[in-house]
Amino acid sequence: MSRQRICDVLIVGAGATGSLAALVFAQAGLDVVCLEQGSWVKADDRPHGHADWSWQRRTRWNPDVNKRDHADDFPVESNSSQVLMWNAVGGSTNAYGGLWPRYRPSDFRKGTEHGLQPDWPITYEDVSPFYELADQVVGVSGLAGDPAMPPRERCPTRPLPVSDVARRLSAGFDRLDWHWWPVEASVISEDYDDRPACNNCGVCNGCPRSSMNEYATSIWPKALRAGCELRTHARVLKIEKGADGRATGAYYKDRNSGQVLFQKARIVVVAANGVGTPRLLLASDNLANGNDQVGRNLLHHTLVASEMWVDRPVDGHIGYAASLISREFAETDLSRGFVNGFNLNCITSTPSAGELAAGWFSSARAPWGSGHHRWFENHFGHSIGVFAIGDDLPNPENRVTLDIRTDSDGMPGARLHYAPGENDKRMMNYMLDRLKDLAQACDAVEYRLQDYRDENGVYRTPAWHMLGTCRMGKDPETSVVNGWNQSWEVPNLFIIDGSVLATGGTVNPTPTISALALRSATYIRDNFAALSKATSVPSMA
Amino acid sequence: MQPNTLPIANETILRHLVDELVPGDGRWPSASEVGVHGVVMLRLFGDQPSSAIEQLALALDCGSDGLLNAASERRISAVRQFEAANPVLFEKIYTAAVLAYYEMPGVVEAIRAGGRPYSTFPHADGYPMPAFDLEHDTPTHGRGRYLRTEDVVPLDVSSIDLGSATTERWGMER
Repeated sequence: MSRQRICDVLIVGAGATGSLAALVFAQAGLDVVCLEQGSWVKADDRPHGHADWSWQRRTRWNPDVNKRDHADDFPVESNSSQVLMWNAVGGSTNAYGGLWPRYRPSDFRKGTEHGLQPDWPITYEDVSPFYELADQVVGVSGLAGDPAMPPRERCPTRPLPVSDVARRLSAGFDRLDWHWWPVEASVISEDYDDRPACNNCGVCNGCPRSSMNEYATSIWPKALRAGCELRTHARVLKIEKGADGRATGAYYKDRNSGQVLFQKARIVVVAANGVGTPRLLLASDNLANGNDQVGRNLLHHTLVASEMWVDRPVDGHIGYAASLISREFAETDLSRGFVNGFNLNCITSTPSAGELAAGWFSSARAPWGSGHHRWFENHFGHSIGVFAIGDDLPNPENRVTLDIRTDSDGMPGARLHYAPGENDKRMMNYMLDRLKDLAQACDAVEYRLQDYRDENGVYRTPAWHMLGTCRMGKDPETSVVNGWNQSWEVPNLFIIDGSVLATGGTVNPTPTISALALRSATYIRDNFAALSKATSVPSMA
Repeated sequence: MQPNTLPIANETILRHLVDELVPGDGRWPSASEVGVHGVVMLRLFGDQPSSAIEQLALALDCGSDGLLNAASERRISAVRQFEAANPVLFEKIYTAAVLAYYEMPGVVEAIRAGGRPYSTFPHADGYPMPAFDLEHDTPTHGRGRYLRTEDVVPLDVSSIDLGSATTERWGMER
């Protein structure tokens, strides 16, 4: 162990939120160190430029951490949903799809609405300025003026091109008299911030061109220029706490040299995602967990899907992976028989002919043998996928704990348990019926529904969101952080990743996670002197 | 890693198998014509001992009257039996064969010949699409609503009886 300077802020994890925090702190002149267990993802590492990119998406570039078998990953044992995680600079944005919708005001007020989820200690209005900031910083395409959402500033770039898929779907939505709107995406439709516009290739899991925002290419270069020190292959083993109850820094293993080092810090910010963060806290002698809330209330979203085929070609394999979003069912309506709402994320199709033929969104695939080519000719270029994604209710038994398997450095892996509850099941039944309505309204010649239950009935969504495991709240007994993402128990410990989300909302979480991270980082920056010495935590944000 | 040098017989097994999975017709090449069997060999069996292919041959009844039979019905029957008896392995092989097939330039040409735009390397050049037209593509339906923060009020959820009523059949079972 070697002596290290005391940095102002130590950030654990160089993913989306770690990079944003690093930028804010470094631009303010603070001494920032970020420790990332993985490494940089080089352009050549990505499958996009290789002939076997379809194969790689299923193997070494699979968003599911357990299918990749990468040295930088740690074992995650899940008895249900598969886990979207990428342990590298830029985190899971190296492989995500870049959908960028915001939460709605009611998502922050579910405690008031029905009491089956808590109210957040903050409101949509508290987060709104940071949604705008995040959009400008990362580069977003979309269209202001959606009547189903609060007013917003103009998006940095206009919506992505309207595809034939979008036209077909919008006609279906119109027939049903349902809301629809062009999807917001962290994919730029015009050159922006020295990054080129999207070229509509459709291979939207990460983007070597940087047309899709990946924090490794959009944010990290700026953070490094501003003076942040990023150490890769630096796996944090334990966050230490002193006798005064404050975090003192973190032990980490330099995976290149094998040395175990200690980085001292005045403030520690954890940005290790909804699985990695509780794992680290639990492994750090149960840090910040006197109330036994760390790891609990794992949220995934409810998720079901449909795949439909239409008569005329719509060539969904070209263009950005998503087309429209429908917020028709986003608010609670008790006449449906459940609380909370859901959105319809309209996907174009897979960019890969092979993926479609081998089976993509549903159980449908080309048969082997003499019928293969006829199936392909009738289905390729005719397919459309639609996700229905909803707000699942928290259950303290849905949680992340430590696994007996360890990573390559001896640190325990993570174990996940998740099972949908009664409200979630009712919602998913309703969602499937609405997907059927939409397929019929689009005059689909064929459609298949997907409930992501395996042959044993276990709900196993594809590589998916992990939220809520160190949730934000007003009550220190039922939450892990306050309204500034500050640990109730460790005054100079902040958590800024998706684990703080108190509700899952009806949308992909990265915009909200990013906005919250910027908000928290701004608070830390503006109150650094006091936070460097604080020995207690405000009861309300 | 040492390249896995196949005895001729093993190569024959995979070639015949992939041709049953994705046969050729007048418009489309067969899987082996475009080299799919070699790719499947590398991707699925490249790190495995040669006994893995030998076991595959046994499962496909290559020794007697199965996959290598001159009659197509026999070959198809052998593959069907293999699929039923080894569903996991069959799935892996079929998926690998299909993904490899549609990577091949000859197959990409066949897709294009059918009138669909398609690229082997879409990320390199992308696809042309007209830009979003703010005047003509902006939705005009006026549908959609949201609750403002101050509009969120307590709802009486007793009517939906989440406490005692249980949904037994959900998802595709509903």
